[in-house]
Amino acid sequence: MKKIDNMNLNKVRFTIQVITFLLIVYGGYIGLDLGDKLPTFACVFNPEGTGGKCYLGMIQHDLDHPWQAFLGFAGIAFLISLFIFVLWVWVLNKAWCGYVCPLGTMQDWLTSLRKKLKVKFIEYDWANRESIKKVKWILLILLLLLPFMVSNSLLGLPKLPGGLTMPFCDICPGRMLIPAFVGDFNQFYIDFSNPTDLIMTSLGMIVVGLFIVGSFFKKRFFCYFCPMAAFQYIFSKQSLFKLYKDGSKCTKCGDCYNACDMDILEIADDIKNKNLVTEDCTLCLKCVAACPEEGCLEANFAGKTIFKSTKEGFILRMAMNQQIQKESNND
Amino acid sequence: MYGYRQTMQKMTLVFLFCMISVANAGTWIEQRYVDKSAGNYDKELYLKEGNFPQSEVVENLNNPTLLYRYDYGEVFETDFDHGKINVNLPYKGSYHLFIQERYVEDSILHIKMYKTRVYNSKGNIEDSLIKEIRGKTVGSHFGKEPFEAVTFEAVLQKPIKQHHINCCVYSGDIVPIKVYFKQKQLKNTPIVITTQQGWEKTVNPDSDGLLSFEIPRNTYADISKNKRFKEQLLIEAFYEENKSGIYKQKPYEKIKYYLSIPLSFHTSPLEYTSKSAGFYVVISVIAVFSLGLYYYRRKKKKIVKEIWFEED
Repeated sequence: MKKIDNMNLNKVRFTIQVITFLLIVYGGYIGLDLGDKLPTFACVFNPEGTGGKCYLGMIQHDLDHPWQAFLGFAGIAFLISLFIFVLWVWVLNKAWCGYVCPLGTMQDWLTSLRKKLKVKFIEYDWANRESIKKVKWILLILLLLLPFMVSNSLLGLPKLPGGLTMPFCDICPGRMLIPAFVGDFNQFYIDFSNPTDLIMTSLGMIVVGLFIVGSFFKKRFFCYFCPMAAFQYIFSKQSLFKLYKDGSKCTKCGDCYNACDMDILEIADDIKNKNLVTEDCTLCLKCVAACPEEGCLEANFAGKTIFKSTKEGFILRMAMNQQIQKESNND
Repeated sequence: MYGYRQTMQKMTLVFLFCMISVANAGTWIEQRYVDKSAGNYDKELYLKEGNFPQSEVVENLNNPTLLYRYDYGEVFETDFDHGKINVNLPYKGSYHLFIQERYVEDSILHIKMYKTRVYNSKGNIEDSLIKEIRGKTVGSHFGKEPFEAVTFEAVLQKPIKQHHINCCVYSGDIVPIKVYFKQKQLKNTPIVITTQQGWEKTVNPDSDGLLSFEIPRNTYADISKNKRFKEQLLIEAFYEENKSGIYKQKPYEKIKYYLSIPLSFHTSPLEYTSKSAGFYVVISVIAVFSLGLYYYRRKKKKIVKEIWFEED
C-alpha cells in the first residue's frame, strides 16, 4: 500500500493511458471486442482497429426510430444497452476519462508537447466558467433529441433531415482523429450533398481544428464540453470508484487545485462534502498525488482505499519532479 | 429485295434480343420495405425471376430449402411460401440468407442457390438477450468463410475504396469475390455482373482465383436532385459437375449449379464530398486560432503580471 501511495502517478498514468489507447484504437486487430456500450470514445469510424465502440454513437443510432418501435424489441434493447453503459460507469466512474479515453490521452500528449516546447498554458476566463459547464449538457440533450426527431414529429414540428441521425459523431473530433491513428484520413471531408450534411461536416472540421490548437494551449480543452462526461456524471454518484476528501485535514493550500487539469475549485475549497467527483472531474487522481496532507484525499474503490495522499509520497514526488526538471534544464 | 433485307435485319435483331433476354434471365431475392404504420417499416423478402431488374415473383419452387446464417456462424432453416419468404430472425444484426432449389430436367440435376444479405433491426428478446448484453463490434458481412450446408457459394471480400463510408458499397468501389465449391475455392470460374442500367460484364478470375470488378458509375442518373442515387446489380455464377446419380427417383448425368447475389450500391461519396476542402478548413482553423492566441497574448503581456503555477 505504501508503495502505491508513494508511486510516481504521472508515470503510472502515462503507462496506463498508452496501454488503453493501444487497446481501444488498435485492439480490433488482435480480436479485442469490449462491446458497443463503452463510456469512452472508442470510435465506430475506426471499424477495423477499434477494441470496442462508444456508447454515444450507439445511443444516437438507437434513438433514430419511430417511438412505436420502443414499445417492442427496440425499447428493451435500448434499456439493455443503457444498463450496460451504466455498469461500465459503475465500475470505473469518470476514470474512463482520465485513464482510458483516447481523446483525453491525445490532449495529454499535446499538453506534454507544449511543456517540452516551453509554451505557456492558457486558462478559461472564470467569468465564463458556468456557461462553459453548460455546453456539455446542451450537447448531450441535442445528441439525444435530434436523432429521435429524425424519425418522430415532436410537438407537431416536422421531422428533421436524415443528416442529423448521428449529430454528435458528425462534430466529434474522435471521428477524424482516431481513424487517423490507423492511417485512415478518409473522415476528413466536407459533404456537399445537402445543406444539413454540409453544415454538420463543416462544423466537424472546425471542431477538429479547435481541438488540436485548444488542446495544445489548454489542458483537457475538449473535456469541458464533452457530452460523454455529462452522461457519465448522471450515474457517477452510485459508482464503485470514488474520490474522497477528509475536509478536517485540508489546509486549503491549493496544491490540488494547481495540479488539476480541469481547474476544479471545489477540490481545494470544499471541505464539507466527502465525495468530490464533480461533473468536470476526470478522476486522474493528480490532486491526490499533489496533496501534502496525510490521508486528506483518497481514491476509493468499493469501500477500500486504493491510493491516498501521504506526506512521504508528496515529498518523494516533489523530489522526482525536481529531478526531472533539472534533467530537462541540463538538456 | 430491299424489303427482304430489312425484314431479315429486323428478325436478326429480334433474335439477338431474345438471345440476350434468355441469357440475362435470372432468379434472385429482393428485399422490400413496407410501411406498416407511421413510418414503422417492415422488411419483406420475395424471390424474383426475369431479366434483371425486370422481374416477376416466383410463386413455386422445386424442393426448396431456406437457410440463414448469422454473423457468428449459426445456420437456421425456415419456410418458403408462394414467393414470399417467411423469416423469423432471432437476433438483431446481419444475416446471409440462402434459398436452395433442386430439380432434375433433361437428365441434369439443377441446384440453384439464391443468396442475399439481410439486416434485421428486430429480434426475439428471449433468444437475443445475451447477444444484446454482449453487444458486437467486430464483424463484417464481407469475407465470411463458406459453410458446409451451401455447396456452391460466392463470398464478397472487403471492397477496396477511396471514400469514408465503411458499411456499404458504392460506384467506383472495387469488389473482390471468391467462388467456393464444397468449401474449396474455385480458381477458374467466372462470374457475370448485370447492373440495373443493363451494363453486363463477365469477370474472369486472376491467378489466385480472385474475381474483381469496379462498380460502374451510372452516367445517366440525375444526381443533381438526389446525390445519393441508389441502384442494384446482380452477381451470378455457374458451375458444372460431371456426376451422375438419382434425385427423387429421376436419374441425372451431370449437375449444374447456379448462384445469384443482388447487391445495392449508391453513387460514390467522392461525387459529393471533398477531402481537400475538409483539410483546408482544419488547417485554416488551426492557423486563425493560433495566430489569434499569439496576438492576444502579445497584447496582454504588457498589462498582466505573470503568475506561474506548478502544473503537476
